[in-house]
Amino acid sequence: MEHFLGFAIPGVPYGCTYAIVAVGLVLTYQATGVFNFAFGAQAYTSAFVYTKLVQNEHLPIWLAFFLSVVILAPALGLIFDRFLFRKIPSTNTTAKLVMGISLFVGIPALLPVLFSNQNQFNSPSILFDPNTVYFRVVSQPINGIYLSSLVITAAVLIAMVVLMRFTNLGLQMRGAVESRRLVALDGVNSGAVVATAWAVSSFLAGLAGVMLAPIYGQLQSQDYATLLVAAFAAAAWASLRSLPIAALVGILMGVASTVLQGYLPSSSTLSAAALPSLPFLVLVGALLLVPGMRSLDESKDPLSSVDPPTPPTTATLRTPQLNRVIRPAWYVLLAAFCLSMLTWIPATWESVFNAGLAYSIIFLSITLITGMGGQLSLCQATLAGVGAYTAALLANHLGLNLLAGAVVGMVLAGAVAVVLALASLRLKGLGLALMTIAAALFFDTSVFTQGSISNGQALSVQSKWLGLGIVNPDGHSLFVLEILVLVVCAIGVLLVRNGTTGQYLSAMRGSETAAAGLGINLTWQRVLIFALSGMVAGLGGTMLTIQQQTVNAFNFNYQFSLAFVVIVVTTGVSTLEGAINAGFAFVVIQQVLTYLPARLGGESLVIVLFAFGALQYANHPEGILEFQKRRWTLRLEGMLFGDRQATTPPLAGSTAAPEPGGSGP
Amino acid sequence: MSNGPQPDLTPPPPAGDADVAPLLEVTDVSKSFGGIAAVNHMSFSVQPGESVGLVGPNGAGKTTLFNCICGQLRPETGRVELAGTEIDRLAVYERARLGIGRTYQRVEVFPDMTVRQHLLVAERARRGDGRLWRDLCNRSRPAADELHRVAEVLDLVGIGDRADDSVSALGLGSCRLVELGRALVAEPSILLADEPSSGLDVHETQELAKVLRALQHERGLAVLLVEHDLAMVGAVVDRAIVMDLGSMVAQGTFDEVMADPLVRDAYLGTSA
Repeated sequence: MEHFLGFAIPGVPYGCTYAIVAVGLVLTYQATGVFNFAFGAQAYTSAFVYTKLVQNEHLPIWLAFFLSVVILAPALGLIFDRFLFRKIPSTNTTAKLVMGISLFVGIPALLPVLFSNQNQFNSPSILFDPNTVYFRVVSQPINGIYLSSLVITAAVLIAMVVLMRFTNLGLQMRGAVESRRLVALDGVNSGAVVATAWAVSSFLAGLAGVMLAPIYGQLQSQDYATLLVAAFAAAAWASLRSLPIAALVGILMGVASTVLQGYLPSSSTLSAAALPSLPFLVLVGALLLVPGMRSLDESKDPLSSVDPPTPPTTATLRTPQLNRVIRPAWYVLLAAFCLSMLTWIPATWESVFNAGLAYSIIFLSITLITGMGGQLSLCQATLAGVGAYTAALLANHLGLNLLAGAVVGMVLAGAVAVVLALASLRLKGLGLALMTIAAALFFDTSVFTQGSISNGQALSVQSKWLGLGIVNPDGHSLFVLEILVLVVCAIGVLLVRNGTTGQYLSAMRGSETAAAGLGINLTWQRVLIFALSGMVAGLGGTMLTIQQQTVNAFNFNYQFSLAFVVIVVTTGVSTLEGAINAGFAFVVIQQVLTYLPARLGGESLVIVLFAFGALQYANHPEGILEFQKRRWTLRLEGMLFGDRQATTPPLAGSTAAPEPGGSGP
Repeated sequence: MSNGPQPDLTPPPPAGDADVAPLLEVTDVSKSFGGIAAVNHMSFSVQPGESVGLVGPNGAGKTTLFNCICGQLRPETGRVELAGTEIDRLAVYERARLGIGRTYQRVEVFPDMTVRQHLLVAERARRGDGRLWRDLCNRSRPAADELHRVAEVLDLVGIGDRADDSVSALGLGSCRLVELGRALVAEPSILLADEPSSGLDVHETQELAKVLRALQHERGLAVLLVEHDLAMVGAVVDRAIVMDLGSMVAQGTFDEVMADPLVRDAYLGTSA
């Protein structure tokens, strides 16, 4: 027993932190209907500011705590509510998730830009001295960190249970989560209620962040992301409803991780695979076994019909007269681009554009799964990685042509996507997003870094394996290859979108109940779109590998999966040109930023730019770029042909359907 | 409403012929939520071409029973058969393909689509033509006969003039007609219509009743109608089943059940 406790007790502080974050997630979800992906970023922000104020500005601990946790954290929550989440219709799960993910990837990238890129170390404990042993439990010393964690967790849990179950505010919060408009009709200031919920949950995020900082030593946003995944798992086992269960599972996870660490041989494969996998295995278990996770997004706002419909895409809105101008203009632009790439563009920019083509292919997979399928997948970079690693390994070990490897990789990525789709058949919205992020983390920690695959190292890929006489993968021939692959993929996506499959998917996005009632096999359609999306992502990953001549697990980790979604949402997830714009914008902005001074954040600024672009999703769910295009298209039409009254989109499946390619190049 | 030929409004032949096998047979179906019996051992049948009204106060379990028949809910006990085939283990889409059409109490339309597209999707689903290879070969464009059929049904339900409008631009009443057209284009053998007149004005309701009658007479469509507008129920159905608190309290012709004291008690809370 003593042996066991010797391993278990060190896990308690971690478990307590997981518990607080899980309680915060459940509280936010119960009170606002938002599963707050930004929670880890909020925790990191408070910890960052707290440590900086103590270490750099030499403020007293209590004052730094007051400023970073009591003032800053709730203020952030209030800002999120007022300027972002309040604008999202309560039934739009995708928009809420995209907002949270944007903040999750944007805030940690923004902080070093705002406060200089220096590391923060040795954050002080907020309650008890970490170096003092207050007492012993079965010979295990209990120092200030243990004591602080336990006391704060217990206090937070009791306070939150009382708030939600025994106060009028808690009752109003639970009402507002279903429909803040309906609660407002009952005379409740629902805006203030939800704002309070955001302030309280953000305070918890700040508290968890500051509490965790002394445990980690060096402050890194990556640690807070891992913390969030563990908290996801705890919150999922509580069905995002029960605060005590969330806290209990959080603590058990912390304890289980140190017990496993203690009992498993430190150098064994099992230890290497099981320990990092624990949070997402627990998360997957919850998603598969907890019935409440399957019905998360089933509540409907009775007043949702007052929300305006999503605006039509620019391509469907354009008048035939303007189409006669725009379409040839696109072809001329495409021809000019191809000609330039093959003649005068410098090698540096040629390489940038080639990377843009590869990213465009990967981003097309997001157009398929999210834009057409209405499913939010957070593992598209992982699927790209499956394709990339497959082609690279086949080339390295068997000397297989990379193009043949690309086909095998594409099929394997599609197969992984099918397995994922089958595993998450009963999940949708948030549940599906969590399942896909769990899959991404699994591949990050237990597949891509395995010794037999990469041993944690980058795999180099040589151009000689490309064949077809292509010897210089940075050159024109690579451009020809990539643009051909992109055009084939784009035409395929267009045909699927304009065909029966696209119509079925559109029906499913509108109402799964009615679609099934018509005889549409939802399961098959879902598996199909996952498979197609996985195949396109896998192919894009291989193209990226050929362009970069290397495969690096870092380029396909879950953070890239999140960033990819944010980027495509910014430019327009429902259109083909949105994906292509995103691919080029991603690499071009990155390249431009290399010309700026490093103190401005360098390449990390690209994530900040896109993250804050994606925050416009609340106002413009069609994408900020798509919104601007529509605006300018209407202006242009007004100037060229005079004002028009009808803005009804033409049929996509009738005699008036737009031609394939109507959405742009 | 309809621009086509006026439907025949003569009374239908008496339904419930004992020699004819029932089209839909519901036997001892029960469904409860958290210990509350929403549907309690319900048994009834619908003959081919018969129109049956399912009436009762709010909370009687009518929509839950519809959901059990369509497969959206799995009943705890009992059996549902369509044309002699047990369909309990079938998924919703499989039941739809066997011939169960449905409209919904809460309007279920596809906001990104036009009215015509709604019906085209239903037509495609009916034909089972949604094959990926056809899409990739650009062979999924609507055929002339599909467009013709869709146009026919649009005219039948009276929204032909709004075929190219987005459903987002339609009012509730028009959306109900879109739902009805979408269900009809799939050529079901039985239509489960859940409060189809909700949101329609008096004139539109009368026209809808005529359409349902015409479908029954001209196409032999069986109709199971949940409706609170008793005048409409009286105009459409051959037979009525009254539910209260999940159980059947009466069945018979519309006039018979309306005269039943138990029915008056269920609706008015008194048997006066």
